[in-house]
Amino acid sequence: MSAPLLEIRDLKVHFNLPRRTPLGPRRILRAVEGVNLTLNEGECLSIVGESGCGKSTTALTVMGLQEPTEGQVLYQGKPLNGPGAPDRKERARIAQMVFQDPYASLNPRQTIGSTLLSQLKLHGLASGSEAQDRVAAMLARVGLQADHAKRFPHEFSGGQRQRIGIARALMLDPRILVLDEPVSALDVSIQAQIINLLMDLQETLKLSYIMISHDLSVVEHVSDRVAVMYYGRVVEEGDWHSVFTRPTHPYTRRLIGSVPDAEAILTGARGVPDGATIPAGRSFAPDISTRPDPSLPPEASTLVPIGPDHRVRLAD
Amino acid sequence: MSDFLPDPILSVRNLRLGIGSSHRILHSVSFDILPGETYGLVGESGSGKSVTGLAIMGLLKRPLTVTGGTIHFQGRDLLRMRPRERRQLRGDRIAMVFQEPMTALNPLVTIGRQIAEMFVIHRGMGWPEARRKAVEALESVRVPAPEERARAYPHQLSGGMRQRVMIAIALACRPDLLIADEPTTALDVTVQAGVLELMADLCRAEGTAVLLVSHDLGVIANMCQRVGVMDRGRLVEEQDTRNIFTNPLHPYTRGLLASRPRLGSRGLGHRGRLTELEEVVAAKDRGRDMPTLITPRGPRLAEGAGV
Amino acid sequence: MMLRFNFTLGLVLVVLVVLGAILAGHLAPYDPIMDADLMNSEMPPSWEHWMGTDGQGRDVFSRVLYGARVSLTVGLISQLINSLIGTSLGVSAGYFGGWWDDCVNGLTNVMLAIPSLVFALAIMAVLGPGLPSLLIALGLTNWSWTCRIARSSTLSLKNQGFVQAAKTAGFGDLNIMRTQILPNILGPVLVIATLGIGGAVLSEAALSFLGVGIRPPQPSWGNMLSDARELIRTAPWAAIFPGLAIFATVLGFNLLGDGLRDMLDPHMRTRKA
Repeated sequence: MSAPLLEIRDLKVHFNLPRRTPLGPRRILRAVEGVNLTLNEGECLSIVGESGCGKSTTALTVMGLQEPTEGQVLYQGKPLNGPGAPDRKERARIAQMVFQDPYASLNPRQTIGSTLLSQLKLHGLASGSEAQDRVAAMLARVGLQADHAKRFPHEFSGGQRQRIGIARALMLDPRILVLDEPVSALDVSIQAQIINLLMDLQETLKLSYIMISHDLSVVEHVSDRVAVMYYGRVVEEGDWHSVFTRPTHPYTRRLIGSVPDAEAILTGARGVPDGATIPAGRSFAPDISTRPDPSLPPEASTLVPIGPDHRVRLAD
Repeated sequence: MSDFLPDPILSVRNLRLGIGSSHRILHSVSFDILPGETYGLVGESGSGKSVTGLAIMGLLKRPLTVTGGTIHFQGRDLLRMRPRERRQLRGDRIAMVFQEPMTALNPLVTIGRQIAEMFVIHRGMGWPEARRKAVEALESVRVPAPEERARAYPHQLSGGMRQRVMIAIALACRPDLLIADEPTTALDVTVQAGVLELMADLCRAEGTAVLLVSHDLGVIANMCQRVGVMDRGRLVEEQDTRNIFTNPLHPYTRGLLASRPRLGSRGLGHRGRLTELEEVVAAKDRGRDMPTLITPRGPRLAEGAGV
Repeated sequence: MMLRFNFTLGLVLVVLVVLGAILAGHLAPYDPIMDADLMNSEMPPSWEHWMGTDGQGRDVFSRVLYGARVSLTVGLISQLINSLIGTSLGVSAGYFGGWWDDCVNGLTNVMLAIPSLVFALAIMAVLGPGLPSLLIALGLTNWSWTCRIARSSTLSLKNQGFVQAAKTAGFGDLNIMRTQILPNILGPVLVIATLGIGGAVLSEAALSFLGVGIRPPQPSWGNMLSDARELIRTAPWAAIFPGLAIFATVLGFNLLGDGLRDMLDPHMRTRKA
């Protein structure tokens, strides 16, 4: 088994909150609290969870848009932050991001052709007519036409803008794409198109994906491996089949149980499949019956294997 | 033969909405809601489902105007009422819950006072009694520590809590019809279930009819007895909820159902492609003038069904 | 429709003033400084002197025309300096945040607290009177609103996807500020600038009136007003016409700014179609 393409080791991201009183204790928001994840070449790893769980912060850290408080992100074994790490331009060839809001992810004052070309020029990858050709080819690849390059973002629909966002991310031939809720802002009928496009691109361009999502149906359909985050920590992770057919952690079970699945509701087949058994005497961490306080350090816990590629967080 | 059905509490007939005379937003939409029934209006953005709800409430903003049709509520046409009469109905007999509670609630007023206002304005109560009723209302929407919470401001509450407050305000005067426009779309999925359940319980207890507008088929399935499907300003299909999912008639409905990834439908092995809407119904066929495929309650099917 | 009317009226006024300034040499029937006929002083408006003559017998109309040159130069150039300072400080403060943002905010607050005219007076006292000093003084005192607007616009843009996308594409911070942020904040900055031109014209008038701006005999609307103080009873036209000129210019730029803002606003709104 080859080495992982990307490794997130013990990642912690803490934010300072304003003090409640001028002389009171300093308060910290522990957005990400000790996350370990690996992304293997060619696979799609999804990080799921609800708002505030830290999944977006993790994605931003991988992209270099957020500084980690502790921990590292390693690409092919080499750290992406700290001294000796690659600079912004080098990182751009490694990982690119597709943003959630198709309306805000493009500069409203630049034609999309100009947005795409400027990236090629910045990295000296092509110039003149060769650059134009590359832009046209990329537009075709994401299902748009070459003459769309002359238009401005506001002339496109949400689905088309997301395609342009994908084109922009792929312009520099990155190895990894981080997809932040790529279809959440789109109509249901457009979601299917974009999901199919992303899956096709992954095959043809041999990309590796990290997908951030709260939509479990999409995640199950698209992922190879899944990590479930809750208040800054990964509470369950493994290959998609294990996590979805044997959800074990109470939070995972709660998430899956809340998905309003129309057919299941109507046929009365509602219910969450049984989880795997955990070692005797151990309890799940954290306790989800009360809301954890994100400003306190979490209790000690570990991700314990409960299957060949299936781990769940248990209290120590 | 049809069973005896009570008069509908809401009867929309040939409702047309537009901007000026040229741009049509709704093309002759008709549907009924029976007393105590939960009716779902499902569609994507631009389908016209939200403006239908706003038109019923009388909250359309210029330049949108009603260009034709009638909206009968308890036998009276809302569109031909005097504005003052219409306003009296709002909040009292017809109430609305919006998608984004943060913008629907007044950020500068405590939530207790916002609920109490309903009683003062519509029931003529004095403030002290209204405040007590407000605390009761918070209890009924299952907000813990209601007396304390009544003194809180909207920004101090979580999204789910705020939505419960909105429901409390809407149901304060026990309206006959509740219009809920994407009530849980802005909430986390684990919170959604609780809020929906609450709405269903309260409405069932009071016999409140509900018009639930949503793009989420799962939410619709959870809550509604009948569903109307809207596409590009037209009501294209209307059936009992169960039948919509098991036997969708209109190509657009079929396409919509087919294109969702469904939890539990992936088999081991290679990832499959999702069906795209265009593969089921061509873009040029959408929004065409076709009779709405309706199955009224009962075994009889309308003509044109099975197309 | 109302907005179009405002914008057109403003445009007309501004164009008139600009043309008057540029073509002063051709339009002015008399030399504003040399043609002083003491025998003809304090004459009311007539066919020979459309706006009458002042205390020194000079033609008011010609002096108003040449005065336009001063006002426009001061208005446009000092506002340009203001915008440059305000935009650079505001964008960098919004973009980088942290201690630099705190510094810029502190400085802006100080500047807003000092009456700008007093500050300009102080600078003029150090630099001495004359056009260049006037430009520097006014350019250094009125950048605060531009800075505020630039900063808040930058803050709202900073976390939008396309700015983050530019970072992930490898663009440097300066490049991003120049190509991504700046074009998107030009709207509000431009509107503030057009309003500021009017303000600068008024400030020049005030400073010249006080005697520290443009020194006579070179005509400026401000020092014309100052000279006309004693003539209010005997030759009021010597004060009325420069005053009207100031009024028309400031009104013109204000309307232009208002119209621009209204024109740019719905355009921005339709961008999120």
